[in-house]
Amino acid sequence: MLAAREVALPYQKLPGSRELMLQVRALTKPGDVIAIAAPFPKWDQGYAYLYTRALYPLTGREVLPLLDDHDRPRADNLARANVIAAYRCEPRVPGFAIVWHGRDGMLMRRIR
Amino acid sequence: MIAEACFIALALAVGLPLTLRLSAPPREPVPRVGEGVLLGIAICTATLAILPWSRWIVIATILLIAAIAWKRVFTPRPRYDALLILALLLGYALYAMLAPPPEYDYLTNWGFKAKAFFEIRGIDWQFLGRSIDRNVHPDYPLLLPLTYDFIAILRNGWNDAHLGIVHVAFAAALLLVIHETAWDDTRSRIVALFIAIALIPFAATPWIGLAEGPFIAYATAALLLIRRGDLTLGAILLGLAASTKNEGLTLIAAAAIGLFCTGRKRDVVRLWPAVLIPLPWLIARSLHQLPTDIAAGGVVARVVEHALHPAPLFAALSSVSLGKPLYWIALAIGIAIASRTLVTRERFILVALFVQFACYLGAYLATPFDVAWHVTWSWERLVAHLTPALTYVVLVQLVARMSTAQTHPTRS
Repeated sequence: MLAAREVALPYQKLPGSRELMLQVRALTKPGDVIAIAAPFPKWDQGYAYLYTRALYPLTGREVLPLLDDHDRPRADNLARANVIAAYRCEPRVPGFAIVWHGRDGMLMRRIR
Repeated sequence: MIAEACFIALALAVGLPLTLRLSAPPREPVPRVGEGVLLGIAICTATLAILPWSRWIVIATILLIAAIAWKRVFTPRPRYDALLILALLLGYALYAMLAPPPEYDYLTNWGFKAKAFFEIRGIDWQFLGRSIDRNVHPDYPLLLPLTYDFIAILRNGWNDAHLGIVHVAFAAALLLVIHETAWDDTRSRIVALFIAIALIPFAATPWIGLAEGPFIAYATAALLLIRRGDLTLGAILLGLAASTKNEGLTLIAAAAIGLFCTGRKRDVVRLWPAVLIPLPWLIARSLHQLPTDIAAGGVVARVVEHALHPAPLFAALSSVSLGKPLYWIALAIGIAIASRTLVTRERFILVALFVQFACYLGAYLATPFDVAWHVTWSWERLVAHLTPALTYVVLVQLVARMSTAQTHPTRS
């Protein structure tokens, strides 16, 4: 019980984010370039929390933010990504198709 | 847990005989277990910088080094009081191994690097070079991440559930060094035991997964060994402190200044292993052009700017709680009582800690980040680097003063 709470502790402000990232890890392979999508328009208001906590579960993949720390969109990172991991949002991105959908997010993979 | 237990056994097997060869007399194995673990962990991790990341290759190499070093015949002398110290760490062990390290800096720095390296079974320079998140700190030395990797190699898979045992091993090793040094200083088993137990909260840091515990272990053990004249081993541990955290680099300078100020000028040169050990990492990170945030462009301008407007720094320093108010009050009283003997007998430690403290303040002046943010997230940990050695010398000198008072009641 206490151990389970400790495991969830770093992700507690975004429920389901740890499970999502573990699922994304299972569905991707080393070398994949994963962009993190989230319904947070500002870096310091949720996005950084999700992005920085996605790094550890997704080691071996290149994990890219779609927002910089000045809250500017990073279209260049989206262009490099071949996978999008979306937390509690359903982005419509041309060239990507949904390959998995779960309770707290979904995974999209580049099709062209 | 088998991989973690094997790791500690291998570290002790290789570290203890080498410690006995490198340390000053008396060269008895039992009192040197602490230094043996500290040195052994570093040797295990060093093999990963040279050898292929294969379980049997690293095990064979460690055992070979241990076998070569185990040439002498030892006569172990039992130290049951040290077992009490280890028993008192049981609660800390339960805390440390409750779950994978949950600390943010573990997930984005120390553990993240270790896991990323293990993915490719080697130090991933490309990963370090391209790191986007600033908390990855690619310039930080790799002793701790490689320690985690060594355990993963023994297991042949990544499992962070029990990595906290590394921190228990470092805490135990430091406490054994403190116990032995206190015995050497006071020649009293009870006092040595008391001092070691008193320092348990300082060695057993709450930051599981981070490099603070290992750094405190290497740095404090190094200062205590250099203080008592065990220069070679002390200098090696000092170099290992610099291989654990960048703060160790300034500690080398601080120790050299401390020796210089105590008139031990010849001993300054004998610190050469401390400079040699972190050198390969410094060269490698320079060749790979890994950025160092504190040294990022415009250092002088930032220092001048912060020095001219120190109010935000002072406000930040005063706003961060260092906790343990009773400890600070007791320490201040202890320093006041033993001030005379501290200044005369403990000048090396006091000067070294003061210089290190000044370097920490200097880092805040040079920070490219918001000062309040930087202080908030580091001040308590930085102070924790210095308190074990300071508390140790205060306790030892208080004991010395009490002994003098009992021997010569009229003088007190």
